[in-house]
Amino acid sequence: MEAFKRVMCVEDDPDIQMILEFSLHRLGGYELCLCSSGQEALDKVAEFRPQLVLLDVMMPEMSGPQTLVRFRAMNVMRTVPVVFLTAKAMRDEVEALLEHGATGIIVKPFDPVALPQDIRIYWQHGRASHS
Amino acid sequence: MAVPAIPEGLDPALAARFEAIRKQFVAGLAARQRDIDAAPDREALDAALHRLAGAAGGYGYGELGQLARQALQAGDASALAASLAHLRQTIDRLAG
Repeated sequence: MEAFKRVMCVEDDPDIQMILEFSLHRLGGYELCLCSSGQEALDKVAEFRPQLVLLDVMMPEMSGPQTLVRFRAMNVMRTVPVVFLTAKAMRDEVEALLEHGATGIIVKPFDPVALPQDIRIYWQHGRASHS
Repeated sequence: MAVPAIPEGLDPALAARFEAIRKQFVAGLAARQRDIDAAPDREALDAALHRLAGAAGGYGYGELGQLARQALQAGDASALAASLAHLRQTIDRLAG
């Protein structure tokens, strides 16, 4: 079984990118691919082959949900867990995001110390649901 | 607003890295304030506030993020103006 190590983060805010790098790479030890847009993620996903994607909801040009639809059309991304990052946590919005096929939701601001373990749980959940 | 604590239990190298990126975040607050001031419409303003709300708490500035959320939720022009004034004071204090 392949160990969980490759995480792609799609987030347009440079400050949130910095805290993601600190949390997931320096604290969590994951191999990280940081992307600033949905299009950049689509361009890099085949080469990086993420085992989990953290995907910002509100991004210019291509939103998180639009990016997820494009991911799911790619064979390499059909079953990869995708967790939305959002600063909004209204119940109906969360339900709508999950209906898009997301594995889960992480609300910003997140705890940088807890995030590495939180995404591991989502990865385990995603793996179990596709085994 | 007090300087937030570095997360507990970090080894010194990681604590130093966190402190460095925290300072970088604070250094960028003036640019965020300019984005808020220059927003041409409510949609652009909300986008700038939304980004600030999402980022601030991760660096330990939960109160700053809360002020941005209050401005996002402001229902009328006077409530929005009051929220933005409070937010500006906080940013000026942190960035100054």
